[in-house]
Amino acid sequence: MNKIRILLITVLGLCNLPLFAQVKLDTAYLQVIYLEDYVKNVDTKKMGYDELFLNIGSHISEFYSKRESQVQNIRDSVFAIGGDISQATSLTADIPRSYQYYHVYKNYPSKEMLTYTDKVLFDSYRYEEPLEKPVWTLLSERKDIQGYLCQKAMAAFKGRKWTAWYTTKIPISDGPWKLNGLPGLILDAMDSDSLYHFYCVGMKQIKRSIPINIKGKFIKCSKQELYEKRKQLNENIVAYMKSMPQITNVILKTPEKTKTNKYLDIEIQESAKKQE
Amino acid sequence: MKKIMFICAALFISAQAMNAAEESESLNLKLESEVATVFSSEVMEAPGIENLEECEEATYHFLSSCGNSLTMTTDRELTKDEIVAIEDAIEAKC
Repeated sequence: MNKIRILLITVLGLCNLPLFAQVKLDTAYLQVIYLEDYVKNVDTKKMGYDELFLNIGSHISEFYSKRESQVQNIRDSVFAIGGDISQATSLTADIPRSYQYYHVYKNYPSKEMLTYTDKVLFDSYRYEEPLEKPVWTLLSERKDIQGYLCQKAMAAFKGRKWTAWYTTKIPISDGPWKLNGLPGLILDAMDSDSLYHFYCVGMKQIKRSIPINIKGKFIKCSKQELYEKRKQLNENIVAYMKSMPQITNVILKTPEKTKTNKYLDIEIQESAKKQE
Repeated sequence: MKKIMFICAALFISAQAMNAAEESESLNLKLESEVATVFSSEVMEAPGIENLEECEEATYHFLSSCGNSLTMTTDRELTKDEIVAIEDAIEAKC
């Protein structure tokens, strides 16, 4: 009995060691850089801007905000060496923020599957779903993007109608966000309401290896659960914070400045369709 | 067997003591660092911890660049990651 007790105590002691969960999934050989213009607030039409990377490996690709990733990496480094918040803040002050924390991993955890991760306040969430391929209608229109001859295609996907421009010169069936399934890389994609627009501004073949990692501790959830959490935080930050166990009280002193906005998501969920 | 148990227990206790010492050091550092942040443009006042030894609650005041102001009480001191997550959430509302 004593042996077991000592073993337990030792294991629990070891569990106190800081562990930094990071799993290397693949190595990217191509990095595509996209800019994104998107509507942040559907009522005021306030726009948001972001710069995102699509890192393509032999088996897996990862799509994420370059800016938010930079901010997180700097913070992690500063905090790891015992730096304080003001030091981290001053080092990240020049990085334009988008507050888009999501990562899309295609063909992970297995082929034809997609993993989506996102952060909502303190917690990081993760769900998996089949890698859905839109049913594209290929059109004859063509235009040049970044020196690549691109062809137009249209599809209804995840609740929105998308127009994409792809190039067969890069025969990789991938694209920004969850978009994929064309006979070439998508260099431009916009939804029919002009709420989201991704456009390629560059790409580079990677000589030094860039790992495709999944980093952090995640709470497994369903897509619907993540949507509900994001919606609640966006629509009522005070209620969301009050629901957290470590927060005993929250008072918003400027409620007029955080009016409830209609929550906008790039993917229209089934529950949101029903509400409309 | 008793000797082994004694050595294991001694090792464990010393490891815990070292951890506790580090935690207490980091707590002081954290408080100092937060005070520094608190007076920056992001946060208005120091966390309202009056007595470290009897600390049961911490109060934080956040002010975003567009004037959103939020006061929050927590049952423990927040980590740096949690504080920046709240700053971001409030700033994202601008």
